[in-house]
Amino acid sequence: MNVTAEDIRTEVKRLIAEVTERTPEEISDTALFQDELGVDSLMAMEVMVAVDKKYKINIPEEEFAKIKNVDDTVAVVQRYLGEAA
Amino acid sequence: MSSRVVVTGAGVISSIGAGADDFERGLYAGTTGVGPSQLFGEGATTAEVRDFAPQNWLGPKGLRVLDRSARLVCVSSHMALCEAGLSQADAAEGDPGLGLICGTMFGSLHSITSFDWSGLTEGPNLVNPMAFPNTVINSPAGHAAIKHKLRGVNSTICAGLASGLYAMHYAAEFLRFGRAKALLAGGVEELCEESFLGFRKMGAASASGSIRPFAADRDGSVLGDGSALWMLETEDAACARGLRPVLEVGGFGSAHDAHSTSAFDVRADGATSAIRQALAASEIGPEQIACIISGASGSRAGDLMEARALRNVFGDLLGGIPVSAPKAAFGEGLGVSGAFCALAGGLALHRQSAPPTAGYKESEFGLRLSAEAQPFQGKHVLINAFGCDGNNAALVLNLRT
Repeated sequence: MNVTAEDIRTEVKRLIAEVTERTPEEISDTALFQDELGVDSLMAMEVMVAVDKKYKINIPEEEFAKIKNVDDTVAVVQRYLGEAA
Repeated sequence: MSSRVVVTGAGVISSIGAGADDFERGLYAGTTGVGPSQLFGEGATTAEVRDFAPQNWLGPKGLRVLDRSARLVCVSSHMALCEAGLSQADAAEGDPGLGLICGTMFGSLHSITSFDWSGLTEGPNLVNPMAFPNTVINSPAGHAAIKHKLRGVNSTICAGLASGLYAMHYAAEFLRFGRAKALLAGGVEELCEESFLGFRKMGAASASGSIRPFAADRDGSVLGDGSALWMLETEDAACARGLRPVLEVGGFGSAHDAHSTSAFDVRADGATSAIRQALAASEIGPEQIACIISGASGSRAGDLMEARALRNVFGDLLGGIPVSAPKAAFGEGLGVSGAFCALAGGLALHRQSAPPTAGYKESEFGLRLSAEAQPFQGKHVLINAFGCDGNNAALVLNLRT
């Protein structure tokens, strides 16, 4: 799948905006999901399931704990996309 | 300490109006909420809450994860809390003496089905974890507690069409035992494709698309939805807050037909027993009931059963007592219907006038129904909620003077 980092970034921001009831513009690349945006574990799982579904990958749950912000998410998605390719 | 339980607020959202004032206006104008469906397309007839915009009461945030039932009960709770002057909106922690007892019949049916459907079509690993909490039947009551900071008892009662009255009685008992300060009590039911189709397949839906309670040509019911709650407190607590409530929750009766899960018991033993228990618990005789709010919804067997139960209890008195069958207005609300009817009964007692039965022409059972409001004088109203699942409940409301 030919997906750029910017595509993933846009999608992740859209999803985080949706679960936190903000606009995508309010989501920065480095804002901390839990401490700054109020993303709880269930919301994080919702985003990850949506990402898995969108990119047809399977990010294991143990990765979730390592993901703190949009930049981290983009990197993880790219890594698993690379493995899937 | 007085063990009397009184009504200090009401919240309602229904096909005939949102808010107690709108509901009262719609009911006494004789209007009906039965009409084309927005949920299932214009070809379908329902009495659903149309143009439902929960953000009008709850604001734009925090609605995303709520299903229709949760949205409906969050709105009615908001209304009842505000009317009773017990809103916790400005409180940091909320009140451990405030709780919610919610009746429902199908509860989360649509959320369960949607979650299952997603697992089946997209795979078990791709279900939305945020949708899972909504699959439990008490999630609407839980969401209302979270939204409105109700830190006391929170319970959901599932007793078919009698659920709303069961919830009101359960809450009243909690208050009489001194185990809560103030409780929201009533019900919620959302109209969903699953209940709509099931109801139609069972042959319970009106082919003509109208509810004609007790009429010779009645041909079934039309499903409605919504939520209705009272704020209940002990009379002492209400008076201590400077209120002078006039409506008291009286005696309650309940009986299961133990006959069928899907057919009314036309012998009416359970329904008769429920009414007799409610009168006995209120320490009044049938001659003291000034008005009857019937749960009749145009069902061939259900209306026959209720007419028989009323005849069994009231005998020759029956022709003189005004009866109202308000489901002709707000539809068959299933688990919320008892609470809708209780609100209608409260209005009747307060106004000393039985609400019109929308579109009513003639009863084949010699009951005193009317398409117009019927004035009366009295202190006790009887509310009936009988179901084809065998659950029967009756509640008496008293006027305090």
